Amino acid sequence: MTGGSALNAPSRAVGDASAGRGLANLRGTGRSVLMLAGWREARWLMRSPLVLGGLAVSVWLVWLNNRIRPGDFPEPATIFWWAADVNVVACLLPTTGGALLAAQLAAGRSRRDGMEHLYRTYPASAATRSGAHLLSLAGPLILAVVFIVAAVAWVAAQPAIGQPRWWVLAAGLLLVALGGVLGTALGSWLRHPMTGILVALALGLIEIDLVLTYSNPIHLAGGIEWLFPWVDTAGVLTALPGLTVPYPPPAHLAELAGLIALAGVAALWPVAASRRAVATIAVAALAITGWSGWDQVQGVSTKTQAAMASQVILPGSVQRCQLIDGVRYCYYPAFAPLARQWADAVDGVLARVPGAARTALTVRQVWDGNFFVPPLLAPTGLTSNGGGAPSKLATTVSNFQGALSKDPRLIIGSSMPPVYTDANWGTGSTLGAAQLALAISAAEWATGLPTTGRAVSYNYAIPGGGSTSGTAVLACVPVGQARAAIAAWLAAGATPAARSAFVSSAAPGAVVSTQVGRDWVATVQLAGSGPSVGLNATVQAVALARRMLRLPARQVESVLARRWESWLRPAATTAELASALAVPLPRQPVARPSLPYTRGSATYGIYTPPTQTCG
Amino acid sequence: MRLTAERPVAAHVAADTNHRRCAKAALTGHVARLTPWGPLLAGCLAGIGVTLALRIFAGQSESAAALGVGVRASFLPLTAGVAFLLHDPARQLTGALPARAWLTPAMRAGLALLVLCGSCTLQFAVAAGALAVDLRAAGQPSAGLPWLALAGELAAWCAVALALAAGLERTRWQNLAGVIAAMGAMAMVGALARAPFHLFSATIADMTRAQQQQWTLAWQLWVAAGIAAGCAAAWAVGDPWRRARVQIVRHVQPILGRAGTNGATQTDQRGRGPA
Repeated sequence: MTGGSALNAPSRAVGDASAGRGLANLRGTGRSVLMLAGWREARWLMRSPLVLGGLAVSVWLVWLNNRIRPGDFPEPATIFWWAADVNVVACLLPTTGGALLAAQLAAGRSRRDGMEHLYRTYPASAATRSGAHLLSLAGPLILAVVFIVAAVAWVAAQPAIGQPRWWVLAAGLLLVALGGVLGTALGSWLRHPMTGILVALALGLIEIDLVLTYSNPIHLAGGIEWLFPWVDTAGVLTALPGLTVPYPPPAHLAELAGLIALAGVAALWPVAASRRAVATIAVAALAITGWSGWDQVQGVSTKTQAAMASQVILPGSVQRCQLIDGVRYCYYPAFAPLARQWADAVDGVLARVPGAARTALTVRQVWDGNFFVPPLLAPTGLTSNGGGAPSKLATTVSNFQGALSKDPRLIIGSSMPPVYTDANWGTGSTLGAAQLALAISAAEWATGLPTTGRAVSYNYAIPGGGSTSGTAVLACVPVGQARAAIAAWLAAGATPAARSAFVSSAAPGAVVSTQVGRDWVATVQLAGSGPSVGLNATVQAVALARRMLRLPARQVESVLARRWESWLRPAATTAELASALAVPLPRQPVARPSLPYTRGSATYGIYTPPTQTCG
Repeated sequence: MRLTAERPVAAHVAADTNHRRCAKAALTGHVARLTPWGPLLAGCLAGIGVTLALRIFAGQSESAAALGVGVRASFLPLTAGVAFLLHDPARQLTGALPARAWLTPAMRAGLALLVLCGSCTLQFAVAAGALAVDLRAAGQPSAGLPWLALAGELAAWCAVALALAAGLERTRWQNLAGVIAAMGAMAMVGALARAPFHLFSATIADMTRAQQQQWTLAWQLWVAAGIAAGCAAAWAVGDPWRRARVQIVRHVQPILGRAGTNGATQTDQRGRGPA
């Protein structure tokens, strides 16, 4: 706590000064007294359990929010720096609270200890002591710098995409400085420690609401929430490809600086020698704060939102393309480090395709994240979780993203069928699933299977009562076709991790009943990458692929190479392939119809409309 | 080695019964005037303010479980206010008064209890209204606020804050006892919220039997913790100058023999002497 030997700093500082030059020369030594007292107070603040406790909570929050958890793919396994830097600053809020409390205690120390009369006898003026308290914020700021550097280093060691914005991280320092100056100002006017606690509690409750992205009880419209010290807009930022990042508004730095100046003025006002100068600073700070506040309340401009929408619906205009082993990879610039990882899975597929024309394949990153959510989209009400009516831009982007899984010709310059990937990629235990998904899409391209589906509108009367309606995008089922087994074999053998993921995906528990035309077929749904519909293969095709995996790869490749073109025709059957490979044909189990039904007031099961056989 | 704790003879022993009654009546007014009402009332008002905010925003997005979190958040300012209750800036003077050491803190706690009960009643009434709105908005059947369990939690938090403050008043950090106790109590609550003890039941409405049992167990544990903290606080304020003194029987006995006579009472130099 900063309430230790309160007298030491001024007395020692003055003692040092007067010993060398005498009290008569004190005016000249005022600055050194200020610096000495400020440094002593800064050291106390650095050691304050309140500041150190806040810093410990900050460290814990950074770890909690930015660690990569081994979740199920496609949970994001990468960190986007354009969201993480905002979060790192948000994690500094407990340190800010600690600095506020400690600075308020330090500023009120003289009265608390009953030393005000003694201090008045000192050659150092009250303004010097208040100035020293303001300078002492260097202590928490040094800790904040160390925290930010360490946090950046740790997050960068994780699978992180993009670069931290240093001006955003600098806002974290302003945040800590604001807490400290506010505490000093409070200590100058309201010295009871309860004041600091109540202010910290009130600000803390508001900030908890503003940094909770999804479950915050109160939603402020547009840029109003940026009038408060900090906001974590992860809901928008993590859904962006990192080109145009609207938060935090650059004017927010000016607002923080203005608030710091205002709080500083409030701290110095009772002891200022020249109140005219202080008032001038206050007016200037008020003007900066007012202007920046007004600028932030305007929200994100329509022009900026149009640029963000354009980056999604016209990816070719902003993406970079790179040729790796003959395959063209097009991606948003920040995702360049992922291209080589994508290539591992794609190369694993193409390496075993006889005579594959690699140059024809383009793997394109598309963006399926929905960023037109609050606060970018104004909430319908103060306590409403949902966004208001979608804008024209939001509808355009939403329609485009919906068409990605339906229209194979949506993006000019893509392969046919298109091979898409998105922002999700795996790491550690999820890498295999990510590699398998991309390999499935690449294998579908190689074998001529569609990666997009057919949109079907349905209205189904549930037996027992009720009905269900909607629109679904259905992948066709290559029933009995040899190319399904070949695609599954190609994808599963792409990498060792993909093979393990394939074994897990094709486990007996993953078998589902799919209605193809009027028949029911037992299938296994292997997910594709990004918005691709994936491969909905029969159990027999998947089982044959597993048998093919047990054979030497060269033996399978030579069998396929002999009549590669004919194997890709829909007419080529799994029975013929099994015969050519000299392996027994796996059994295709009988599928039971799986339709929803109503019993009592409860409905069981989900309706999926009938799909078609791949042509 | 033997540890002894000794209490000096208090001055009040010499006073007769009538004097004691008069002194107590006078003391009540004196204690009431010197009780730090500012932090306590500020804490109560802040707590009521948080509960009113819960009532204002009750409905669409605020669930019954979130309301429970909000009500607990409204207890934090109260706990902070209670932490300053025992602080006595003139304790050197107060210590010389002919009254038992525990009397002033006990009277302060009694007076504060009235204020706390009033604030708590108001907060629960407002929170019950918010809960009714939340449940109606969620289409759930109506349910009552588990006010007894929540009151148990508040009492335990306040008792912990008091115990910490009372303990710290006995140390060299006595001028910061209130703020350290307030922050310590809140830190303890925060740590317990993260700990796997299920002390903070979230479900309020439509509870299963297991959830009801969890509430019961939780509030019993809180009350037990509160009683333990209350005992610690009572011990700490009983005699601010009580010290455990190490008496090395074999070697120090001759020295003691010179200083006193055959085990005569020795008092701490900083404490009150015999009246």
